[in-house]
Amino acid sequence: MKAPMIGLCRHRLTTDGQGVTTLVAFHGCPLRCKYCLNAQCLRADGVWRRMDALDILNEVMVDDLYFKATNGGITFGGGEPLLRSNEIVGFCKLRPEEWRIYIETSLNVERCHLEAVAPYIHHYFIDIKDMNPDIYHRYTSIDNKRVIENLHWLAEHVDLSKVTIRLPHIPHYNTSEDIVRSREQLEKMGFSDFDCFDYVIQNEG
Amino acid sequence: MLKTIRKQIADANEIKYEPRECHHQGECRGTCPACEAEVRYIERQLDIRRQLGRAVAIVGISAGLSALSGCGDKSKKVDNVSEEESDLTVGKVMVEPAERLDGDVEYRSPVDTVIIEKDPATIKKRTAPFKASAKELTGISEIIEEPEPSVVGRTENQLVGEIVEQMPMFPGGSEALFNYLSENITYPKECEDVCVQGRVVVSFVVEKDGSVTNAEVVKSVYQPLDEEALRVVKNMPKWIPGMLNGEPTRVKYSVPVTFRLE
Repeated sequence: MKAPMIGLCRHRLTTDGQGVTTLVAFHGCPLRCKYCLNAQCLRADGVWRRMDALDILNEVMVDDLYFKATNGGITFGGGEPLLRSNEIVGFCKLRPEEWRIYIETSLNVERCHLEAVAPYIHHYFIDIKDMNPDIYHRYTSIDNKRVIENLHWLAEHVDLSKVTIRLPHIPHYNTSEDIVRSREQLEKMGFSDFDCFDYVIQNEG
Repeated sequence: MLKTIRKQIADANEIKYEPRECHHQGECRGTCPACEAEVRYIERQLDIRRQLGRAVAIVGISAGLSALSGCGDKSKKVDNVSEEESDLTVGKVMVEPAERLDGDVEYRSPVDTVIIEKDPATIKKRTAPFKASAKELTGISEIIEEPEPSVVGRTENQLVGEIVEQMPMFPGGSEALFNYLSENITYPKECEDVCVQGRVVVSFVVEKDGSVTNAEVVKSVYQPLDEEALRVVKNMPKWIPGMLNGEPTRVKYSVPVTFRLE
């Protein structure tokens, strides 16, 4: 089974993962974010190539030396990479074991995808948008019930030092007070590593 | 900083390596042909040491590096991002409404083997020399630079393969090699008619002055395809020669050319 991809980005340096990483970005996402960073992941003409686990491995192997030397590896993104858990698991079984595996996800997927990849993931970067269901729905057009359920699952099954939660300030959608509330809710669940930042809308100056 | 990583790996394994100044036009993210050739050189040296039964040190030896950058224009930030985008590192993400975004993903064309492809449905439209656009590159064209080690001695004119310090390079790099081949190779008509396809491998020697000699088909598919691949390889312009101990050296090289009908 070949998964549609939107691209690869080599030689990312300490971006969403330790050392040198290659971003492997899948096409397709359940969210419809107002300020989507990789909108091609939703467009039919946004597919760069279709690749299976071995294809991906062959493409990224060129940087094996850098990955090993820097304790880097692969960051899966997109799009929503967890929709391609089969390919991720297949890849992880094939790749050199020294490579680390990172994932950027919204967690808004069926639990089975998360459970499948969990044994292979060294670090999760989870963009929860906002924990408030209304804000989340207004910004992404879908609800965050699965996100919260999956966060609970992670809290019970994964070492939470391996999880970074992204708490963006999304102009026109949430406020700093909303972010504080999200953070408090997540801290009660056991999460402790947060990445707070602003979405800066370029055409609004 | 990729250069620093290469140097650390080389030093840890007693590999003679001095990073060269990168002359890639614009910012080089470590993927220019010269930088890639340096990585491949270090990998070959490590392989040689493994084959000799020596331990090699790779894992984690550059793990302490944190403020990493590319190897070209030092004034720019990580990952070729603009000054504004570099705010990513201090806690901001630049966003625009979805319809205007290109995202931050690089569309990378694999460059590992040359594939000359022809779709029977469009053969008539493609009788002109192939001119692959960047978009087409992703689907039909790759270039492999794979040296064929052939060390047979150390006299003045003998070939050097696995210990060459800098591999020969087609002027302009692997993408230019692809462009040259794709523009000059014509799918033989008789092969289209009978749907013959396959992978021809042509080997040749890049001489000290960069000229291409001793071109021969080392993996044959079908005579007209072999002849076409050989013809174009023989007509290649002079290469940038390989270097050993700072001196130009003869290097045997091979290029696979895949003819494909869809």
